[in-house]
Amino acid sequence: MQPTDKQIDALRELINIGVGHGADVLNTMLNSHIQLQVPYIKVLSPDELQREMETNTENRLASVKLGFKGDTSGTAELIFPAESASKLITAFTGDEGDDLNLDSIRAGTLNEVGNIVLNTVVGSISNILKFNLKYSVPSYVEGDSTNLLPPEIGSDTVILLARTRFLIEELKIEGDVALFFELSSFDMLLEAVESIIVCEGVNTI
Amino acid sequence: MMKQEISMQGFDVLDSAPVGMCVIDRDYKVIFWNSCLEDWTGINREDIIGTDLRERFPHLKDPKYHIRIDSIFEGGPPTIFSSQLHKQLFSSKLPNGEPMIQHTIITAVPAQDEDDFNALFAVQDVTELTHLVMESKRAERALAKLNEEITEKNKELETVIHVTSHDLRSPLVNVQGFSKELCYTMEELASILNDVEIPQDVWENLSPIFEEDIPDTLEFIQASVSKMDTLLTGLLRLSRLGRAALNFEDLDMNAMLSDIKKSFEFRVKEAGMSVVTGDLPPCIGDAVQINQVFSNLVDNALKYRDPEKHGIIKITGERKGGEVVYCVEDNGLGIPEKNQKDIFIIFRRLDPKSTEGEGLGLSIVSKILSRNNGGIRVESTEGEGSKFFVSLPFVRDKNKRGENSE
Repeated sequence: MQPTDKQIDALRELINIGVGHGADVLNTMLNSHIQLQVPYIKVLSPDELQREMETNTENRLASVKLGFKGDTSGTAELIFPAESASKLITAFTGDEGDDLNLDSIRAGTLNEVGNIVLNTVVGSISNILKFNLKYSVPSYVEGDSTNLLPPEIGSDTVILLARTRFLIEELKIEGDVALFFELSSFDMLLEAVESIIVCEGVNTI
Repeated sequence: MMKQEISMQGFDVLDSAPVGMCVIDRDYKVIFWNSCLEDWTGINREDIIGTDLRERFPHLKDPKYHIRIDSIFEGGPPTIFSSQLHKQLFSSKLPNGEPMIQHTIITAVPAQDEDDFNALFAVQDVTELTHLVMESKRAERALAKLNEEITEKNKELETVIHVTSHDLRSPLVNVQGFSKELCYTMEELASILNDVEIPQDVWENLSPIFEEDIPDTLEFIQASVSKMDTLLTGLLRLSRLGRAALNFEDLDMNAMLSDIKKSFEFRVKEAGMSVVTGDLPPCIGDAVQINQVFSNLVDNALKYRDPEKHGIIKITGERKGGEVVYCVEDNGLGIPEKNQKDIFIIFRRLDPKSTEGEGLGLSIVSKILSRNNGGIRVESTEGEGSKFFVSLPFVRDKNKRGENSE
């Protein structure tokens, strides 16, 4: 089932709400002014995602993963080009990174930042759509675009990709929030979104 | 006695886990506090179970903690408090008195009332890991700084070599020119003296000065000037090598060695030698410089041939991991073991009298290979011959290589 424009709008708004909460938490935690923006979202197949990653980012990527199961199942990932990940950690901690391979301490920090953003995004989806979900422990993965995709990904996997922009003072760092769903789970997501649109209208989510 | 009376609501199984673990309910009341946390914090479970965790750790009242912990009681996703951003969630000291660095993950676990959730804290001691990472970072930084300094010093040295060899040349040209002038003057003086009648006893004194002392001295001066000129030329070549721009490309080594063989054809025939090449894998490097490397090695094999044998130069290559190792082998004079470590050092010549040259060839080869991300080593037996092993980066994309070479 292909999402309609209205459904895409509603999904973008859901993700925007989550990302907005994420920015609030990051601001509270780090005592600095961070803005998070989602310039666009896209619905992609695994092949399209692969192409998107290869075109838009360098080869080396850093990612934080959060698996979820329940009324809908899938994996949420926050993906950064390794250089952006390193800059982001430096912006948060003031600790200068030496290279693109994050050491386990800096990886732990990225894991926490990713955890905050993914929790608020997935949390807002589950709260608003009233999904009951169980979560896996978040994990950090580093590699190229081929080994960042969840292992269970199949050709019928649908990916909701939200470009996420971190604005920290004069720094602008871009990453992607990618939500991977099996087709049936994605259809369930769209049905839930549709029911919200019908009941409450997109703007009142 | 007290311990047995405390209900840990079924979490007892986690008591001996090698990580700090505690469980709280939505009022932050401690339900479970494992042995590890008792050791780390010095707080016994009898004293903390049933109390508000925030009384012991007031920083948890700060929104930066409680906003994220509160979401757990709604069954929200696990929450991470990483070591770099928080240092420690539960104030703890190591046996040496140093503060412990912690990485904590909090997950939702169903409460006894099935609609509710408790928060399970899993606290990992990452102090040692953090120190190891810091230590390795410090070492990396020191190494990078040292490398930077060495590169800077090398540049300085190259500049000094370039400037001095260039500047020394002008006075040398003067010495060369004026010593020649002196030769002509002496010839002129000799011819004038020939036309003048000189008493026999005076001539006997003058003759060795005019016919031996002065000409011999001038010959020494000119030979030394010529030697110094060769050395300065060599130094200039070496310093230019360090400054030359490199053009890295995929190299078809079969084609390159075939060209080199052609250029040495005459000398090889003249020396009654033969050159055999195997199938050579491609590599990456600067074509002009790599050609210079192999030309130099073939030239050396010709220079140091054993006149008693039919000389054979064999060039082979094989891929080893990410690099290709080429071997230039000869059955010439070989290099005595004690001299093998010196042959890549500038101006070192094993037998300066028997062959011409400035003692720069192998130091240039070594420098070229280092700039081309490669290397060189030698295996040699005196009287049997030498093997020079040249390593260079391998061309990864074989298909591309094939297309280019066809």
